[in-house]
Amino acid sequence: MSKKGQTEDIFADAIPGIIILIVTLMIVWGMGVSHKGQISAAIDSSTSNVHKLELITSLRVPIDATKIPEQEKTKIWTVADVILLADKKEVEDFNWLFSEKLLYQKVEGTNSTYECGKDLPITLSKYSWVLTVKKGEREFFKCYAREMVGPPLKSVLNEFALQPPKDKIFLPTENPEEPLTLELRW
Amino acid sequence: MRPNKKATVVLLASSIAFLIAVVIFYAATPNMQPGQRTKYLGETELKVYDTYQNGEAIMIYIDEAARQSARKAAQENGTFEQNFKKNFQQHITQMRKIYNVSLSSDNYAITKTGSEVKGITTQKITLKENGIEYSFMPNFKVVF
Repeated sequence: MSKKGQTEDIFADAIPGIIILIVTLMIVWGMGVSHKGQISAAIDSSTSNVHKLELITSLRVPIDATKIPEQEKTKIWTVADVILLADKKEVEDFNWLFSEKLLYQKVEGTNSTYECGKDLPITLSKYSWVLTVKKGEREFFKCYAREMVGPPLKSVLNEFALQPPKDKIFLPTENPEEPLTLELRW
Repeated sequence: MRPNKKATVVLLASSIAFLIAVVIFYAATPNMQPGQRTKYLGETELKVYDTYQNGEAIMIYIDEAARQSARKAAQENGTFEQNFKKNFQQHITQMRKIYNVSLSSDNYAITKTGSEVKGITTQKITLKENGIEYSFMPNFKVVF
């Protein structure tokens, strides 16, 4: 047999082995990927709650007293107080609430959406989130923050609008039977 | 040198057996471990964190309920403590519907100092979720 013929024979014999080797590697790789997917799902579902805890903490963040008008100083201490105040009085009446210096800023051209984040802890602006406040089915207050480096705010909000809330926090109001529902999306 | 036909068949059979062994090993190994399902590194710790934050959500409700009960009690006739407990009970009754935790304002010792109210209770809240049991005392200290 010529040398060329011998080489062709060796490759021909090796083909089944090569095919089996490739299939084995593909199966092992596929299993590894699905394993990684399971880790990701388990960790992701839990880390999203880490965000919730940061938001709960933020509700307790005291607001700098120098930013609060004299007549309201006796009533407001935390972010949660601002939300409760927005429930108690009509949000539109609180122009000072939306001044440049304060936590919640009115978004131009709307009456019901407000941007917050200026004074929130830096960690909160590492990711995008929307906090919607509802009383019963009525949504009356919304604040949000977006990643410092990320997609435009409008697309973030549109994306969030399609998502169900990831979690809910409740705040009591003056009427015990009408608590506020704070829906969190991130 | 070209192997004979018998040797090729044996080689092929051995290769297929090896392939099957690899697949069975990867597919069945996790199930062959003793005890409960193996958890990923950090999974349990994150579930502890989840349970803790649920406790925090309850605590923020209690804090706000206490603050509002105190404001209302200060405007009503009668002793502050009685008024406070009556108002606070309404809030924690509502909270039971939301968070399914049972508390009674009668178990709180209320102390008022100026505009600060402290509530110390003998009744703890226990959350059991994700195989984790987390207990805490829902005491509060609020300024109203």
